[in-house]
Amino acid sequence: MKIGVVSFPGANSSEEIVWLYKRHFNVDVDVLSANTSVIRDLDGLIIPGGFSYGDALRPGAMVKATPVAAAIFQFCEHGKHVLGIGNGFQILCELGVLPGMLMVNPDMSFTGGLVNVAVENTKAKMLEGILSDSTSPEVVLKMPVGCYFGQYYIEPRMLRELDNEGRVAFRYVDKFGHPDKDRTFLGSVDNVAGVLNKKKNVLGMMPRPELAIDKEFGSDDGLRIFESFLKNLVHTIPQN
Amino acid sequence: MKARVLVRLNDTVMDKAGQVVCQRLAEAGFAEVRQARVGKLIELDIDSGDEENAKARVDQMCKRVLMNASYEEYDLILINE
Repeated sequence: MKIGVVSFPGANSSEEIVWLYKRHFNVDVDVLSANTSVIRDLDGLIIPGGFSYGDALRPGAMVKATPVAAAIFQFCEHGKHVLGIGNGFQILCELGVLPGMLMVNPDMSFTGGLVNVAVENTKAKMLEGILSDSTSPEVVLKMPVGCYFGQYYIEPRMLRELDNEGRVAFRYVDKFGHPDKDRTFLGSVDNVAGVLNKKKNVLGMMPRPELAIDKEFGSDDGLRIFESFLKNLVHTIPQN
Repeated sequence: MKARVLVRLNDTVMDKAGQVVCQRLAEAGFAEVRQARVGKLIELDIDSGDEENAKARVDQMCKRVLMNASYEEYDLILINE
C-alpha cells in the first residue's frame, strides 16, 4: 500500500502527514509536486493544508493552472480515495470535485483553535474506520482549525441534497455533540465542516487532523481520521 | 496589448469586504456611499496584436484560472498600446 501527499509551495503540513504515515503507520508515502502530470501506483492521495501559492487570487486558484490539477481530477474520477484538509479542501472545491466553496470568515480574521466536530456519516467508507474504537454511534472529534477562508457555503437546495445523500461528513458542534442553532462556526452554512463527493471517495474537511495527533497538545483525535483513511484503502482497493 | 480584468463576487454572494468599506466610509464622514464592492484587478501584458484573439484567450484564462464562475464574475478591458 502506498499513499501520495501533494506538496505545493505554501503548503504547511505536508511534512507532518508524511512523517505520520511513515513513522506512525509504517506506510509508504510518495510526495508529489505541482508538476506531476500522471499519478501512478498510489492507493490514496492527501492534499494538505496551508496557503498554496500564497492564496493568490483565492485559495486553490493557482493550483488549477498546475499539471497536477488534472492528475488529481482523474485520480478522483477513477474512484480512488482522496482527502483534502484545509487548503486541500479549498483546492478540491476549486477543481469542482467537491461541491460548494470556502469564503472569507465572516469577521474577516484568521481563526484558530480547537473545535469539536460531529462525524455525520459514519457509514461512509471514508469515515467508517473512525467508529472502530467506539461503541457509541455518535462520534465527536476534537481538532484544531486555522484558516482565513473557512466559511463553507453552498446553496440551500444543494445543502439539502448533500444531507439527504449522506454527504455532509462533519459538522461543528459543542463538546456535547450538539450543533449551535443560533450561531454558525466560521459562518459555515448549517455548521458544515466537511463534505464528501457524490461517489463518496473524496473527502474535504476544514479541521486539521494532522495537528491533533497527541493528547499533550490537546487531542489525538486526528489519528482516527488518518487511520480510517488507511483502513478504507485496505478494504476497497485490491492489493497486487 | 494590455488586458485589465476586474474580478468581483457576483450578486448571489455577500461581499463582506464591501460592507466593511461602506461602513467605515460612512463613519469617516462619507455617508453618501450606499454600497461598496471590493474586487481584484489583474493587469496582463499580452504578446498579441490581434484584439479578437487576445480577448478570446483572456476569456479562457478567466474561466479556467482567474475567477471561479460559481461565485465570481469578471469584466475585461483591452488596451492597445
